[in-house]
Amino acid sequence: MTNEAMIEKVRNIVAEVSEVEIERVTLQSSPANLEEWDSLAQVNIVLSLEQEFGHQFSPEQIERMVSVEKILEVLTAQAA
Amino acid sequence: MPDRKEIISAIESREHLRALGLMRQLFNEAPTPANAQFVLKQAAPIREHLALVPCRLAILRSFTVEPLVPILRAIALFQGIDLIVQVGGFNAYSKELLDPDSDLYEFNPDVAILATQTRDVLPELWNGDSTAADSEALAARAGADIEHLIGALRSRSNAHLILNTLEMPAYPNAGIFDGQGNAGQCETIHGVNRHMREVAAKNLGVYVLDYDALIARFGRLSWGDESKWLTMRMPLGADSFVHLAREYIRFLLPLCGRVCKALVIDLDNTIWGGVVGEDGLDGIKLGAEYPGNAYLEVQRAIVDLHRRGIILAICSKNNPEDALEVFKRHDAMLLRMEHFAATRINWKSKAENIREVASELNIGIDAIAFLDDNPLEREEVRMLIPEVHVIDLPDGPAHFAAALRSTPVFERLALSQEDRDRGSYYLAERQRAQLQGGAVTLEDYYRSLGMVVEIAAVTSRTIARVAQLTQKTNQFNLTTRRYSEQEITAKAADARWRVDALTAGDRFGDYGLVGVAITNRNGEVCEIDSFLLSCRVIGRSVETALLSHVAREAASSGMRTLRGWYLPTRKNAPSKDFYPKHGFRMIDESDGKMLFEYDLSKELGWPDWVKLRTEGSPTR
Repeated sequence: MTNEAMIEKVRNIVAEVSEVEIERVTLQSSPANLEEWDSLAQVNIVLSLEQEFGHQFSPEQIERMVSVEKILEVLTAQAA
Repeated sequence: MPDRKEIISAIESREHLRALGLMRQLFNEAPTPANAQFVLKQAAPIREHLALVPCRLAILRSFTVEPLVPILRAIALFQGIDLIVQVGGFNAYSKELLDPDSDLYEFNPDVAILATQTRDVLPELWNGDSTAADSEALAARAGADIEHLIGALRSRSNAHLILNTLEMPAYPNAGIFDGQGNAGQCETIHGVNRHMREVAAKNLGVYVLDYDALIARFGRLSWGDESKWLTMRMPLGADSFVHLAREYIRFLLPLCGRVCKALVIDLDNTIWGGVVGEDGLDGIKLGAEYPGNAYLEVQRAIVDLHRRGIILAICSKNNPEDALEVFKRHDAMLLRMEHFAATRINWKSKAENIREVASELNIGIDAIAFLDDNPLEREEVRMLIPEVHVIDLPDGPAHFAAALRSTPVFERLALSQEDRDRGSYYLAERQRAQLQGGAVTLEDYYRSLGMVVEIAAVTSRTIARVAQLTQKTNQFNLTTRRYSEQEITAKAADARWRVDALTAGDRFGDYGLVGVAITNRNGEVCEIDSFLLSCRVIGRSVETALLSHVAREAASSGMRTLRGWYLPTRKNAPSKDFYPKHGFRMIDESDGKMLFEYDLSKELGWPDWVKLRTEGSPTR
């Protein structure tokens, strides 16, 4: 998967589970600046990513996934 | 995978069913909460075009089920159900069931799920703190708790209740010693589950979902994910939510009446290997060795559905002689021609043949499921008749049988004698059709059938079948009011109401319990609340006999007027003229709803070729 495709995939997942328009989700989006990204959305984001990427995250990885950018970092490090 | 733009453009061009098909494809490839939410968002504005059955579902739980909700709603949508879900407070299920002012009763669900797990219900047992001596007391206590909660629900609601059994630990606290003797942790949990089943069996509308068996089916070690449990208190792993959702759907389909009544099957490369027209009787693969044994397993699964009351039919592109020879002469065949209620072995399109089968069997096109190994045929049927439930088969016959067995549209929560005998009804039906060909007038035909009916007030023995008929009957059903067993029981106990059940038979066989009339009395007016007959007996004047009986009963109890509504649905046009044909006059009409009235001072004639069996005398 290209970097671009991965960014799109993560933005889509965040937008869909937070029920916001895709345009509102940027690399910097996080639970701190996107009100709809609540704890339930966080659970659904983690579950959706695990199914899409076929990988079970460790508790430490889950703790790091607190913005779109950080999620991409975890995914990239995982794939490397 | 279909992309999101394609789905959105299908919706914009108002191709609703195609959009739904694409969304199902997208979701099935990655059944994530995100994709489920995408589906629900896109489907929201087109819901009214999808002919959905509404269902209010309350989930009472002891653990985190939230990610389940969008997944469950999306799968329900694909199966024709508009699911409205309320999730109860975390581990607050007892309070919600016991408190008459709880959100649960305010929500007024059609179905409630009680999703609990062993570590929440019996923590001392889960943690290994209980002793062998406690095990029986623990099981009894858990059974009594459940019984108490069911009692509380029943005193306030008629909702169906689905109970999860308790699951075993992957590694019992005592290790392999747990399996020695009968007081171990797992054996105690078995005991609790047995209690739960007994309690459920004693209560109408309470069903058991074997949660432990579900976990075992998909693998106990991969069902949960310790990371999610330790970080989010979530006992299910990412892939397990969809398995649990699909299991709930197996219950919701029969509860909402979204089940298939018939299975239409292909022959070549579906129930035997090879093409009989080319390979010949001895060349097809069917028997003890692979791949013949894989096709034998498919046949076994089809025979099991037949035993469950699913009507079978054949649609095959073949020369009829070639195909029929296999049924007559191949030693390994489990399926026989007697299993099939209709056959179309010709070179016409499958879609055309399926429509003919539906009309021959007198069932709705959406009550048909279709099994074919050929993806092109499946796609054609999906496109031309989107109402048909097309079963997806994997590549290679080894997994065909499992694909068929996992199909949820054949699930039933109760199996009546009628279900078990259905196959032979349809065989007798073919013989009746031959007789009709030889009869001179319709009345001669009726007389030659030797129809005998029995009409009696509903009893505890017939309640399940009466409720089932109100839920499943679509075509000859004047008001299409769906009733649960509890609602029928309540009406039967109410002096103002009468629930009559009609059983019929003729010289070719018994039809079983096939008609229901529900009436209520107010002053001198008797209103027909529900009047329905199974499509098996329509057109044999049994309907006239039942109406005549209702009129006689009403007149003899002092009623002067008989009233009844015709409430139109997408399917009940065949019953539209029923009241006017029997001398009723229309007194009100709006939006296609018609109210009819009959003056009971006139007798409503009984068809004299139908014999009324009184209690105690033989049917024939």
